[in-house]
Amino acid sequence: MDEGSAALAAAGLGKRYRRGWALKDCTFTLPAGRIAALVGPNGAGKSTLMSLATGLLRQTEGEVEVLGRPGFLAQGKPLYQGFTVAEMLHAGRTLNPDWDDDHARRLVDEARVPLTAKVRTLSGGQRTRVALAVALGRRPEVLLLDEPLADLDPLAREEVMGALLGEVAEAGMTVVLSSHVIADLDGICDHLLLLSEGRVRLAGDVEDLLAEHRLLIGPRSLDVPPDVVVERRDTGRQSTVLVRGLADPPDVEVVEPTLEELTLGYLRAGRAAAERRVAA
Amino acid sequence: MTWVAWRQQRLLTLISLALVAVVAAGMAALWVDVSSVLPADPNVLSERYGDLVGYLPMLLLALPLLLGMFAGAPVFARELEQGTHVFGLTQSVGRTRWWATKALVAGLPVTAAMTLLGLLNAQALGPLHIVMSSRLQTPMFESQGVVLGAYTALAFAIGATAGLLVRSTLGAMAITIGGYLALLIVVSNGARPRYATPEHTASAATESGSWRVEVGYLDAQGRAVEFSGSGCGVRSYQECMAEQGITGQFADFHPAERFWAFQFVEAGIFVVAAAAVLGLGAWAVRRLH
Repeated sequence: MDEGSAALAAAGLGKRYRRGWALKDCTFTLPAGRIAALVGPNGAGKSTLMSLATGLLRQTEGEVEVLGRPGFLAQGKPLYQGFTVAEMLHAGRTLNPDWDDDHARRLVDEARVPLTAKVRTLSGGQRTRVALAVALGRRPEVLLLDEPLADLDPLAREEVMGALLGEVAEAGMTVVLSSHVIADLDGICDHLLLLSEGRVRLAGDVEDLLAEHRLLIGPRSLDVPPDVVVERRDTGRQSTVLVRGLADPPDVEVVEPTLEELTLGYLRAGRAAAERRVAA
Repeated sequence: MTWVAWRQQRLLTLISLALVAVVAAGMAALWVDVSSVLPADPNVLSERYGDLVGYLPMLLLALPLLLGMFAGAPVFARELEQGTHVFGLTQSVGRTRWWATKALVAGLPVTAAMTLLGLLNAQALGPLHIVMSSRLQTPMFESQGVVLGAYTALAFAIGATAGLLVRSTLGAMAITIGGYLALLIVVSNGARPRYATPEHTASAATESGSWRVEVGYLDAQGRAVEFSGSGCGVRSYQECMAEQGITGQFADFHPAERFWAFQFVEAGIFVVAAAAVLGLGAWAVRRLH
């Protein structure tokens, strides 16, 4: 796939459940070859977006399209409990005509998971590695991973991410990783898609986004034009203001935010906006 | 997909087939035993098989239901409970094919096995119709012939489809019990007597093995009349009937030869019902997530 073409695109995408909209007015384009972080608090619509992209759910409105052969690792890494690892790989082969068996077996070998082990006896880390091998056995061009690192200890997280990044570097595929732990994705992802309250709050290249934003730290009297303020927090005598696109910052301490500061700022702003909507 | 569906259902299918095989072995032994005493006096047969014919139908009536509950209900419900349907539905296999393969691989073996058992039962129980009132009547009708396979197909279809809809194995099992028994009771009481026009006889005696669906009294003109025994007091019933103008009895009945015709009509009803329930499942799987 060409660098620069889209791998995942959504336009006006929305999904309504009986209890209300889980996702609304979702429009974004994810360039091919990126590792994108899909970030948001629990219930923000991350899993809904993934399910719509994989066709598991049908959208209420709008469009979403995966451009390329998809691969999907669902939340909770569903695998057939009574199958052995070898049988799970066989299942992958019979369910996918474009299955690369050598590749899947190599990934399981690298994870040092015995082929004869039953899926239900595997540890969380091994289970994730097997699920990843089954997802990668299809040789996907666009790989969607829903909370792949949840319920893993730090060592297993590191191993899983290491295995994944090795594959990405080799195959040049596009990856979308969802997580509510931003620290897991810092330094790995080069693209950000931030969801909050069912809406896209921020989308784009991580470096560009960080460069566009500034964190101003100054006295409470700090005067910032409201149209550039993303989020403002006043604590004691001090104010911390996250701004976007302010060319000429006031005479206070100005720093480039970290990815975590940036996302947390948007998430807090999103929640505050939602609370105001509820109160109104 | 066939391999995956078979591997998932393997244990339940093998247990189900083993259960049917055990019952079939018992029925084969009965067939051999019955054949060895034939031809025999009806009293001898009653003496020898009366008890067996009393409780055997209970088991044979329960079997399709058990298979629906234990082979049908988990097919989709267990996947939905464990979330593994997400895996199946996000591979390169279309969801209708996923559903159809799973339903066929799980449903065909038990339905076929029960059809064969029903044909075996018809051989083993056939000569015993003298012991029972009629082969056409509950519970002997339900214990033999092609209906066993059709009952199993319906119980399985209800179990599998309910699992898709309620996403719970236990819930699907409960719905299987309710749905299967409701249809069986309605069909055996409401529909079966109407599969053909009953034959009429103006005598109380009908051929052995026929199913009497209506009996009553006739007056001298041959009209059906009600008889009330409450006003008779100390007189004999014969005197009392004579006073009320009753001169004879009639019976509407289905002769024993209609057994196979009735079997095919009833099997047809259950197969159509099973197809309708599976159709509901095919619709439900399209909006499954």
